[in-house]
Amino acid sequence: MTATLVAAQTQTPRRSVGLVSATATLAGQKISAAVRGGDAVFAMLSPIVFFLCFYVPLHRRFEVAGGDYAQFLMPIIFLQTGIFTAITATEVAGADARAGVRERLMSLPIPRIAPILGRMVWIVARMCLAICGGLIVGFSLGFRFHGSAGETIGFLLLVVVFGLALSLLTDAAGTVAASSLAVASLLMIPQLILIMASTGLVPAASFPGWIQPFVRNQPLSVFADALRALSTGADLDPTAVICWAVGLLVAGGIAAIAVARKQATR
Amino acid sequence: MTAVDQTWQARRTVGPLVQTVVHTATLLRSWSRDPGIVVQSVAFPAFMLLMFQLVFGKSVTALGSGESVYGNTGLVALVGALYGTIATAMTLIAERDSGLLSRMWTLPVSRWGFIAGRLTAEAVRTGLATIILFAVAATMGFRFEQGVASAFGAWIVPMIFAVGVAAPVIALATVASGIQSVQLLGGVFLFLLFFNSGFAPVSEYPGWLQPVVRNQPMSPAIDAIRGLTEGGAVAGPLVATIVWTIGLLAVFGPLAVRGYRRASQGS
Repeated sequence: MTATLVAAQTQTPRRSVGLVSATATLAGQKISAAVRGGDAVFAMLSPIVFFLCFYVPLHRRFEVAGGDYAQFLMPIIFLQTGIFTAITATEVAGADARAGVRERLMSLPIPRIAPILGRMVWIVARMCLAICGGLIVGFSLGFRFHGSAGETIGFLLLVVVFGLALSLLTDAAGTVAASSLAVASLLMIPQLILIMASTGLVPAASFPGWIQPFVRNQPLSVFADALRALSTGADLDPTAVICWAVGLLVAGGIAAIAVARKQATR
Repeated sequence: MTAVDQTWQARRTVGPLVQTVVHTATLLRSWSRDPGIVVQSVAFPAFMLLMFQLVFGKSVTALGSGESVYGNTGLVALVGALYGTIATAMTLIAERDSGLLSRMWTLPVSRWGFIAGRLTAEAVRTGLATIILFAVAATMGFRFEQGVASAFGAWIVPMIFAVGVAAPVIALATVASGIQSVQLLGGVFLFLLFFNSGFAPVSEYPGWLQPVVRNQPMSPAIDAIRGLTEGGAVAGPLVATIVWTIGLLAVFGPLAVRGYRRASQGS
């Protein structure tokens, strides 16, 4: 008894680490891991590759009917990057869960929320890298921001929020799933359906009639239409896209909290 | 005859044919239990065909180079072969890292039989996936207009293609330090997927790119499948497909064998 008391007196008292510094450390670790592993380069290259893959074969066909395909295509490229970022988040969270990183972090005197915040800082950074890559290729092929400064900021913000909200959901899925790699490869199918059957690649009118209601109203079309309006300066009722963005963020937040609570009471 | 020979059965070499069959069957069974491989080689291509038809079906057919479903079915059958090969390469890396390859290396079998078994398994996997894909495509208007023998040929073409692309992927997987470089190959395959004669007619691509689009390994295979189902030139594209496969095997086959040896010996 006395021995433990003495030991306690001589050691520095264990102090808790603040939210900001804990998050910054964990985010820095995720970012440097991504730079070393090559994911940072991947994040910047993938919008460039996808833009070229869709633009080169399709732009002539599109431009026969008038309009600029680079301007039309840019939103869905960013949204696709958001989805791929979320799929990466599944694997990152799954790798942490498998390696027991979370258990070790929970024994540290840091805020419970710091690990997921750290991962999400990397997600935001990854989205910013992707925006850089996408804008480089988009601008060189004719994409321009025609709206006001506010609308341009809104465009960029909406892209980041989309990637972040989806990543909160998939981060939770990757944490609890037995095989996050299997989840990631399964997510490729809804990704394909939502990207292709949207108003992002071709206008709704070029789809068969029976599927047009779905194409017009599914979330990716809502986001793509809003981003397109923000980049061209056209008028658009923002209610739907705000509802979807807030809804996704809330759902992601609830999923993250639910997983964290389940882990804490294990 | 010594006493040992009477109690112990002599260790005999296994013939290459038996080895290939056993190795192929083993791989196919373990792949069928891997959700990643099943999704990549069967489910994903089926959905991709559905989506390509929905989004580009009308406009490609309107461009006047035949019904779009034939080009898309050929393209997507090859996509299943490409991305399925990447998924199986992941398991090859896992087998290498867990020491399974080293244990198999001690068996009294011929060395090249491992590669032969793997390539056969890739071909059979692609063949099975193609049957399913043709069934899905049939619901969208895909028909065997050229008769039974041609239909059989159209089924064989993706398998020939699969053997060709598997050689470089296996060569890379055996020497790769991690799964990243194999995933990077997925990015390269993306260009093959979009820049070929099935995704859009060759005339839609910029002029300087058209020779590349027309001659990359997927385009002749797609043209051959189109010719064997809808109708059109067959001999030229088919020969080009076979030449591509032989060329890839000649260049990457020895590399794959050497990589396999190195991976199995753990050095």
